[in-house]
Amino acid sequence: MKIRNRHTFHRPLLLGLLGATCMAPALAHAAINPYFFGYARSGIGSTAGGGAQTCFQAAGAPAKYRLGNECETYAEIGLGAQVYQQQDTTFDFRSRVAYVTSQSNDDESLQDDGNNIALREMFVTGKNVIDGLPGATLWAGKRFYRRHDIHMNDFYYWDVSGPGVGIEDIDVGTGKLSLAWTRASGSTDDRFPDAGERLSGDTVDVRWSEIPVNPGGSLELGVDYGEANLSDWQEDLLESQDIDPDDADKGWLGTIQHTQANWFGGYNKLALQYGTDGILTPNNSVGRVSNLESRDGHMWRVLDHGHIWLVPNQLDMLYAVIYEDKNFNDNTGREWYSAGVRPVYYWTDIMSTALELGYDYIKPQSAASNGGNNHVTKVTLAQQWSAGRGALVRPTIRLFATYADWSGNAYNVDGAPGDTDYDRGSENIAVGNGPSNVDFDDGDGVTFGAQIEVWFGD
Amino acid sequence: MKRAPLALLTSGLLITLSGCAAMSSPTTSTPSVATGQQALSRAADCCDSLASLPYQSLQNRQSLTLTFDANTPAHHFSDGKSFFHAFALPDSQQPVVLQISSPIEQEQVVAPTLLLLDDNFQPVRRLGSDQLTYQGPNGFRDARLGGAVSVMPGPDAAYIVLYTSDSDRAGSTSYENPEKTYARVRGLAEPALPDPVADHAATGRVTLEISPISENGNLLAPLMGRQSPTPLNASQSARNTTSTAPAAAVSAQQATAASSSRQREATRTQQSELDYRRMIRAALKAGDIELAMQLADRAESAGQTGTRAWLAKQLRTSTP
Repeated sequence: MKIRNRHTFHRPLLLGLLGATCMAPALAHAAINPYFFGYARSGIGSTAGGGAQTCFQAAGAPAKYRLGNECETYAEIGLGAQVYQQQDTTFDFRSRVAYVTSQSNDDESLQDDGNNIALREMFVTGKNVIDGLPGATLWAGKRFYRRHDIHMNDFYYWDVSGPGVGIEDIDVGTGKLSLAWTRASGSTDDRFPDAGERLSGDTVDVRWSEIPVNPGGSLELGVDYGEANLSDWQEDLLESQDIDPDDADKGWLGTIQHTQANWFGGYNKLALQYGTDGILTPNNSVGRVSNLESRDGHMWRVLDHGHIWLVPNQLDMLYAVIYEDKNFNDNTGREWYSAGVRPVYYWTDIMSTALELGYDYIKPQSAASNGGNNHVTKVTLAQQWSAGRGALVRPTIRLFATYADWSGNAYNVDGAPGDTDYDRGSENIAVGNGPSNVDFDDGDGVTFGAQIEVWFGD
Repeated sequence: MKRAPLALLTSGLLITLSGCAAMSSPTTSTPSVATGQQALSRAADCCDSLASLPYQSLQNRQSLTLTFDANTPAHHFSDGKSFFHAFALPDSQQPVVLQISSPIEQEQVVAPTLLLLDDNFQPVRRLGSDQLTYQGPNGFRDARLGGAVSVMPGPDAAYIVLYTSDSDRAGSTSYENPEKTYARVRGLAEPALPDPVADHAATGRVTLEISPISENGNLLAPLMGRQSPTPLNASQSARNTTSTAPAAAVSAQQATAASSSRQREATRTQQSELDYRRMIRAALKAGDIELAMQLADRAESAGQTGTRAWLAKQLRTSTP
């Protein structure tokens, strides 16, 4: 495969005739050839009954099924280039900036609440730069590091991204080994008010991937150890506040994942994870420490997701099943059951109809501290126009209608000091996913609108 | 929730309408490789020689999507029976670039041979599908096989035929699993999935683009990833070919082609006075040194002595 070779047409030059004079134009032609890649989603939606689109996520759930259920504009724009190539040795640069806006206006400042512009990637990889490790890639800088997600509900279950350094794809005979050190510093810590003096959370990530175990199937094993890395003065400060510095966050996450290819025309991924203490957070626990939000306790998670073709070229389906049990010493944990399917029927190469059915059920560890059980079922019907057939083909323009049903009241009165009776808190539907335009006591809701989704790049 | 029925109705209506529209139109799913091969074996040979193929005229600047299917004429070429598209190259005062682009669709791809004929319908050069390069998905384009050649139209390069030889169709192309492309774009872990293999099919689509060479050397070229073309007509044959009148017995359908080749005969003397240096500069600008050297060769043999030395000087002066 010559995928990464950007000079495929580089031709042998007739050096014999023109001698070294050929070299200058040839090098000029092989100048840096930047490439552009990115992702975006955006659109418009409304809530039946009035108001802008409400997005339905079960309170306490780390994710929501996304088709016809995303209320923001999100985009990533990346630029990269191969900056050096000699024999098998290459150096590549890659960068990525992400944008989020609440999709409410023409002119939306990225500094407004909820909007953001973030530098997500800025790194260099050097492939075949270490003589003893042919095929391995040395890298440093901040990057998305080998993230694992479920596309249907935008749930990242293994993600230690951040500034870091590492060696990837070391050939160990059977499979490949990757080592990395990444960082995630706490940003909500008011004990260390100076931005430069926050707790630095360090994660060491070791993965052994591409281990063949059965025809078309392979295994990936990984261990992440994370620890808040305290300076002497930070330890002193904590001691002065009667906090034992040894209680600072530390924990580990183990992951076993099986990937099956040739699975009904698509693939299946089955992952089992166990994590402890400091590497866990109340919401998304992905394998890195993020300091003060973490809890002591443990977590089990098992999930299965994939893509299959039910009728070749006519009907495919994304699916996901998740069970997660977080057991925290302070009883703030919970169990999460989730399942979703997204069959898509392709009428033509361009037009398709998608149906997404998603279900989330949350069972708090302790009703006293976290409210009762709650669940959300959502179903979305979308008519789509895409650049081809298949669950991953984009761009897509879709018109959607979403119906969601949940247990009990949607919201409660927040009750925070200074709030009015109209301020909403999560009861069965989580607030904070854009507008909250169903009524406090509504038990179901309907939204409709249009959305685009696009990704591109090589 | 009062307005819910209305909203549901509106969006439901939109969806139903567009759904119905689709149902009434046939699904455009690509037929399988086997179906295409069967269509080919059933197809009758349209013509008894290369000279009697139905040649269509090409403009200097044109982009064509060529469909290979049961309705496309078929012929027994020396290297196999195939559906084909045949063209007469335009009368051009400068080299043209022919770009072939064949998208991989549903695990199949047309991998064509490009056959170049002189004005006597004799094959001058054959660019087999093994000369095409795999190009991964880029921007909004699918993965594809692609290639480009530069040709100086003239008596030694008058016609082209695009078809698939038996050996072309025996091959296959491995292409990157779209899940891997997606993972790279999104910064996800590369999935441990095999790359699919596209069979080389008898039927499908190929894009042919023709443009004057000077347009391919603009400043955007490196950014757009436009690659330098491979010259197809060797200068050797250019010098040695003597132009002979087309065979007397030509069928009515190539009257145009034949007359255009007579015009070429007439303009041949003008060609020797062509501004070779302008063309060489265009070739250099496009980074095509090989073509520049061929043009210099041709200029020398046309009596413009000193062109080679001038080219060498051009190359020296562009040294930083």
